[in-house]
Amino acid sequence: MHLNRLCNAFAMLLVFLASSYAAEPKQITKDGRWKLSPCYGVDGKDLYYSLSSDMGRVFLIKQDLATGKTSKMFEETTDHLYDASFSSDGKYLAYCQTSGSPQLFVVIRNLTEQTEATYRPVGARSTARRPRFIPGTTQLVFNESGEGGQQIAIVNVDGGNRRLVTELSAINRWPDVSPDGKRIVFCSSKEGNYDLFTVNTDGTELTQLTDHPLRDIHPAWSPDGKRIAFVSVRDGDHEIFILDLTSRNVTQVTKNNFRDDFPAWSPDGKKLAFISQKNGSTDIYELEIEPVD
Amino acid sequence: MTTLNLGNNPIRTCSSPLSRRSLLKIGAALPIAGLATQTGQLEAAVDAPAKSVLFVNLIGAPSHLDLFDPKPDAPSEYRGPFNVISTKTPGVYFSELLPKCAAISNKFTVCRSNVNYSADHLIAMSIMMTGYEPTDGGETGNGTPFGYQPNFGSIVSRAKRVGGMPSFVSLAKGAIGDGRGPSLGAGGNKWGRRFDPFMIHCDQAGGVSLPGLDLLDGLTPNRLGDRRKLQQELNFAKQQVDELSSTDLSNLYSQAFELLTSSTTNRAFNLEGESKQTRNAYGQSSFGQSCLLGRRLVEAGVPYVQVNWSQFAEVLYGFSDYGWDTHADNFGLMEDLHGPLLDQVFSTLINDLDDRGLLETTLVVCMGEFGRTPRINGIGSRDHWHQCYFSVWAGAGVPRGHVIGTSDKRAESPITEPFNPAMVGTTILEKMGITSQQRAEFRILQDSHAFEPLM
Repeated sequence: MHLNRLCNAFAMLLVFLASSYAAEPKQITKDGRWKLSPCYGVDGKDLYYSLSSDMGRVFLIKQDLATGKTSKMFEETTDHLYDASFSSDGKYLAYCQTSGSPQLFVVIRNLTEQTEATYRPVGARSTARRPRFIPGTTQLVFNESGEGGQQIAIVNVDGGNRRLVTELSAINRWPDVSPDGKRIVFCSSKEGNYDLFTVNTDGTELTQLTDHPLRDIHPAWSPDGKRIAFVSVRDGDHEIFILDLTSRNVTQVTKNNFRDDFPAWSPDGKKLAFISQKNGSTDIYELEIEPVD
Repeated sequence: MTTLNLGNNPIRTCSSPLSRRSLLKIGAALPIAGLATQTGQLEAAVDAPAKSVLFVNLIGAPSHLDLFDPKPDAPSEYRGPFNVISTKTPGVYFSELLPKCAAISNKFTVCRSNVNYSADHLIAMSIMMTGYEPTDGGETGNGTPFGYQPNFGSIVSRAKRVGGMPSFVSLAKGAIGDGRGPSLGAGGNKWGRRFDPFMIHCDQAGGVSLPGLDLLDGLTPNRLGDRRKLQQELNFAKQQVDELSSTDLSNLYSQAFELLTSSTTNRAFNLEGESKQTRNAYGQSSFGQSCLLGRRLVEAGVPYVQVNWSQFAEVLYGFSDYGWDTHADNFGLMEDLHGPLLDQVFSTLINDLDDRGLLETTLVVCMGEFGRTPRINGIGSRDHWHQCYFSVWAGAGVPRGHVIGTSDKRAESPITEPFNPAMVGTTILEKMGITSQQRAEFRILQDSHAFEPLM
């Protein structure tokens, strides 16, 4: 009897240890330098992110996840580069680049034909951030800070046909797109501070997803379309949460006393890469995520 | 040919032995004064509340509404997207970007009625550091440093005696300013370059270098081994300087040598001497490690340390290093970088000073040259606003857990006595025991008064 209890306790301990181990994120970078906005390549083998040393120039970095080898992209430019993102077919890469005027514009590179297009928002101090391709289309969405305030906008991959998705009297930013290409998730201060909202790509059916007195930011739509990872400061500092779109349940993924931010799904939906400031350094970690039915 | 870049006056000399392997630059950042033995010193009052000042300079002008003076009841076009959070001080609220500062608000005082006289970065920076507008037009009017009163740090430097250490240190990559050039009011100004700060750069890993003294071959303060060789090189360079320039510079190299090789200095420079826990708490950023170095310099006896958030005011330019000038994308930048970094580092600095008992004798002042427009601009961001902004004060008898000075409902103007730059300077000097009599002898800040609630 006692032996059985002991065995059961041991088995439970193993389960506990296993689950603890599974929940421990894997450290991907170790240099500690400032980073932001990671994203996976379409095959999930590489990670892309922005990196800066001493608040100097911000480079786009490609890192091979198997070997850890890193390389700087587009070194020829002398400007800061942010927010890399790939189209789901791997044909296009978009990112943002600083310039004197406008201050940030979108670069859209056709990786097959080795051509480049840009979208430059109107106005000397205008910016465009966080481009995300809309699956099944030749369009991308981003947030634009320009005439009309800070809104969600769409352009074609040739940089033309810009149109606004939102015209809200609020700060609207950090868009991402559902895998079916129909809905956009973004953050808006429409109801006070940043919460998550979704909207159709034509600007209809605006829906509020979260409503919390502390801000919810940086949403990332899962590849299976069922969940949205986001960051909230609702427990006192930046932590990663996942919103189940069916049940509307919110699950806290990280819980600690340092900043975890900028979640990005792997293409197979089994991992989340994110930036963590554990131990005072800024590095990228990867966390395995349980699938949902 | 060797270029000895002496401040704003580059001097070209003939070939020298240095050029074989090193280019020795003595730049605008060089410590021409601020070092130990100085003329014109006055004994400061021994019972002064502050032994040192740590001035945290938020270059580029942070938004007061998005940090320490939020207006949750203002219309949305003023309020912005950040909510407010309660603080340790009953009835006082900060922006939700500052949870760590909110948790220790009982250790400092927030002022919400600061004003400046210019909305131009360079001029406003100079005024913030000197207290007065320039007499010769300032940076945008082809002015000179001599048109400005001396930096508060230069005044402290002149009034305080320290041995073997600089008395005014400024931590930055190089001469602070914006994309147009340096701020003229950063140093001794009308007193001359003898009272400029000694500039030190601390990188994100805690590595220390002297921006104005680029000694190649790894000859950094952290790695000084061959003192004799360094002395020879500095002596040689000194001879050239003596032949070519003013006597103001004659002690430059020996002073630099003294600083670089002083065991006291090197102990202060060596951040490896800190526990991993402390270094991690400040975080791996240049600003974080600079604040840690600032604390160590204060601990070592440096009377005035200015920690600069960045070298440049600007954010989104290739040359910039993430200053606070968020004309564009204010609410993204504040979320992604500026807010969390300030919250982490400043709260750590205050806690660290407090835990070590240093807050009793160290005056901490944290402010930018002005604030940002309360009304959100047409592109969803904030521009310059010098009519009302914030500063944070701690230590050396500053009340704990207070808010003094009140802004109006939209943070556009103070509704209590405006806290002007001359009052900022006078408050700092009075805390350091530099009395009105001494200021009269120096002929500086004679017509101003300290901000009484801070005294």
